[in-house]
Amino acid sequence: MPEGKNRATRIDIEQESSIYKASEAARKIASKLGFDNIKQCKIATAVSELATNIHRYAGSGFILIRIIDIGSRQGVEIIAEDIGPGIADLKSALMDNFSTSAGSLGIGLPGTQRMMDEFEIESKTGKGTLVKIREWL
Amino acid sequence: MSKVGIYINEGSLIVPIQTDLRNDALEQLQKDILKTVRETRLRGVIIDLSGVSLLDTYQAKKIFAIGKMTGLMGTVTVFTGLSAGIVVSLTDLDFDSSEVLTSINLEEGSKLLKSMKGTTARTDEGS
Repeated sequence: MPEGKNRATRIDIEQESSIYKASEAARKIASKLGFDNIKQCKIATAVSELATNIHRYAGSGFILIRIIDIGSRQGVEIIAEDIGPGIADLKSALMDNFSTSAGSLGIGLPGTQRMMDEFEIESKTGKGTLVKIREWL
Repeated sequence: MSKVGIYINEGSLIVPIQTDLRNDALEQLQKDILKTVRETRLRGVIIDLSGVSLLDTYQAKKIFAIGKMTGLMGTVTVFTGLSAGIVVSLTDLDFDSSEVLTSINLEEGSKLLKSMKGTTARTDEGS
């Protein structure tokens, strides 16, 4: 089955409450697809981490959640995009305990990478950041 | 006051968290707990997280910091009822939980506090 057959759910991250909205939307979609409770929680937590990053570092952006079918595989794909300052040093941002903001744990991105089956990140200084994560059933 | 209803039971402060708590709400809860502990001079706090569906690193850091804070006052805080999904996620996120005291549920948390020397209400007079 071709990709893109499924409609995406988009949640704009404009305020703090949007973080909860995004993670709950992800949990609902993951549940509908048949992920067990633990996987649902992991997916919702990953979305919460990404949405928190958007809210704290970029100010605004969006989360896109969709079900993906590739061949016989089914899964959920989440895209987190912002047009914020971008991450100048991606390599460091993906290392544990690195953070550009005082008071932040700096484990969000590498942790999200560990939590999901697939993780991709693109960032351009001054242009923004795009993170794509996937979890397969 | 925070949105979380806190109460005292058998000499411990019980804090059942049922909602998704963020920035302001978490800070208000921190303040309320510290104020209550200071005023009542209780030696034990139980923060029940069984109604919480997820904890990201930011929330986990804020919530578990309450344990550290009450510890500085001489009050032990036990966190109870963490779901399987939350513990798997926090472990994947490499969250450092080495200083966090936990129990499976409220009842066990209460037993744990009682078993710890001096964690029941202070009996000395004065205020």
